[in-house]
Amino acid sequence: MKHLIQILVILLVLVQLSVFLHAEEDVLSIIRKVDEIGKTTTSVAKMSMLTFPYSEDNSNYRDMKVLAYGKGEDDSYMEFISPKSIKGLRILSREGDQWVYFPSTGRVRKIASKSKDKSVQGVGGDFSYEDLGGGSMEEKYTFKILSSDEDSWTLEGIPIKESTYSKILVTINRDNYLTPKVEFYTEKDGHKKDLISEEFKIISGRLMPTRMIMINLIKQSKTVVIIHEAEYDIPIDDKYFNPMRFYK
Amino acid sequence: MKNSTSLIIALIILGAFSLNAQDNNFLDIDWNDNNSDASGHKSYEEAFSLYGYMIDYFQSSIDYSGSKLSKPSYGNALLLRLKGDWRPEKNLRFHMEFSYISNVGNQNPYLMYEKLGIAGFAQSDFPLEDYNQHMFFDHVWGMVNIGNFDMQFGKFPIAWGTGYVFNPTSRVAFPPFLDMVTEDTRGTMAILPSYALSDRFSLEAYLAFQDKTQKATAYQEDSDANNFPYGIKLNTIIGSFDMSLSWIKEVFYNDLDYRPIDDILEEAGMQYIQGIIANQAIADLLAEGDTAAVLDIFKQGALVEMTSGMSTHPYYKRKYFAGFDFAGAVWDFGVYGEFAFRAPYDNNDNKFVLGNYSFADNLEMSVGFDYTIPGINLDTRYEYYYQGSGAKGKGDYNILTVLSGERLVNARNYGFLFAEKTVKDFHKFSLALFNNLDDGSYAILPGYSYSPYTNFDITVGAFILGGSRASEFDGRYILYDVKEVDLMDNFWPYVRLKLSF
Repeated sequence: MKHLIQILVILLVLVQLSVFLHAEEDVLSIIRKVDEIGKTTTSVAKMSMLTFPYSEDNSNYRDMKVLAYGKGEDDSYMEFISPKSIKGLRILSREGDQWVYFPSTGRVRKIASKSKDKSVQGVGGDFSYEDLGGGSMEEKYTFKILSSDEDSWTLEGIPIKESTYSKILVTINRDNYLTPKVEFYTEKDGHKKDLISEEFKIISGRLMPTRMIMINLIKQSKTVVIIHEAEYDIPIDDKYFNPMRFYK
Repeated sequence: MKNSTSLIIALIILGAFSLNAQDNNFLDIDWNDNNSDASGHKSYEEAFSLYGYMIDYFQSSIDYSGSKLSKPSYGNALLLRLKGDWRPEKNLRFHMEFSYISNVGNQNPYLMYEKLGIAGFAQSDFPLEDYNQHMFFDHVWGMVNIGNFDMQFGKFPIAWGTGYVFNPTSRVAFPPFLDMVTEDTRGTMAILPSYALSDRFSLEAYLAFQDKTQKATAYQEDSDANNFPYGIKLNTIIGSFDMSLSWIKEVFYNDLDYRPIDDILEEAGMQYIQGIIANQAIADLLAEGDTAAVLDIFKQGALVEMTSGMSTHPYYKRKYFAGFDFAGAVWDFGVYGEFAFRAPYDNNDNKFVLGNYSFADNLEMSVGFDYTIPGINLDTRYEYYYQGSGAKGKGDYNILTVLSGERLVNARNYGFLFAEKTVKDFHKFSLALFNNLDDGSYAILPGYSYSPYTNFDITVGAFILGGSRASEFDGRYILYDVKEVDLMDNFWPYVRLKLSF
């Protein structure tokens, strides 16, 4: 009898462990598919960034036009086309570091890593340097499944590396592994931002969101990014991702 | 000098070889698409764009002393900056910036020169000249990318260094200081080749063809290669820090006389006396009826003048600097530093002499940090500036060194504190404090900007200057130890309108 109980306990432990391992594997496989869906070797996009100081007031906004290049998961380059007051401003994000080129002074400034919570040179709206920085979800967060229904999973991600966020909640569609919503949390503010992706379209053979809305729940503001044109997996000159010459 | 120039030339030749290598690939080029290069890289940038901004700056100037206010003066500065970008091909860029500036009232710099008595002439003697308006092309440059080699040429800003207010390693043009109108770094005629050895190392150099003053007059000595400024810099990234090492030559033209007033007057007096003696000698010869001797003296004098050639202008000052800068992050702070060590170079003998070299007297540095105060999202910055060549005491201040542009400020130690808060994208509040740490004088700059539209903002603010008598920002200067001039009032409220287009 005693042995039977011992065997039962061991079996229960094994079953629990197996369930745990299986769930872990599920989370990883989900997040890897999410990363895979969004993974591109290179990308180029012409986009608009609309900043709304009051998220409820859709008539009051500023419009910025940006040319953006991306390479791999980490590197991105942005050149501001408008407004004219900041035309020519360029931002390179690479391996967690950022550089900004100011055309009026001809100077390149390194952005301190701890300032990444700030809006990009005051023109990034509700997108901070960290939001615009690259990197795969799997590399940046440790995930667990919080809930699921027949259409989607909700995953909780805890940052692995240093981050301005304490956690994120990601909603993932079961049918296409796209992420219609990401919630950002900080220790101080709690639920701080929501990133909503919509108007999914096939671009260069990929199903991609063409409209992303970042809502800052603390500031009660929002920023809308609209992708007008995009191409993926095309050759892009390496100079745009080289901190020594991205502005040349 | 020889080695440095050789290195710059080597960089240019390296670029020429790269160009040759590119030419050899001409068969691969898609002749129907000049936005792609041989590797198939396509350019998405705009091929042409014209844009710019206009600033209208209105400033009053008042002196306050206790509860008394002086009669205010007023002035207006108007700046139009028209910019153009062309990209005829993917790896070629052309950029130009045209400036129109009009300064009237207290914004006209000639008023200050006349107030100080250092204006070279009276403006009223030249009624057809316009001393209020200027039009010029400030930036006119081309850029060519060839492999990892880039070359910029023409007239363009050369802005080295990581400092925000002071840049000890930026030594080709005067930086704007306490200036609410100028936004763009002044262009310098130069050629700047650079080569990226990798994404963590690059070598760049410039050879400029005009001295720092960019004077309006032209002298024979301008064509002397010894008067060409240059700089060579090795850039690298180590961890999350950007760093660079540099070697820089500054050339500065300055014909202002810094000597004590006694020396200046003594020399002028001696010349006056010699003139009287010469005149007396000629008068004596004439009185004796020796006209032939007088004619001989006249002819000899005329021949000496005719055969002496062009007059020389020994006013070019050459300085050499070893530079170092860095920028990165430590904890929650963005940190940066920039250092320039002036080499012991004897300007008169044109050679390096160690002699009584003082490290402290020849170091110039700015170090600082920026920090965003969490919770209230207040952006702050602090910068400390040390100028080893600065005056050691108030009594040694020389306003001429600042007016000539040789120094930006007079003393040795300065602090700069800046705080800025943006509210709802439309409102920006700022406060800057600039402090002379040696004599305690200060400039406080509060400001508020409102941007009702993306391309328009209005700023109201003030310069509040203060300090003990004859301190740097007190505004009263003692010229040559004999004359006190109140150069600056101590309260300058202003309104600034900027429209971008």
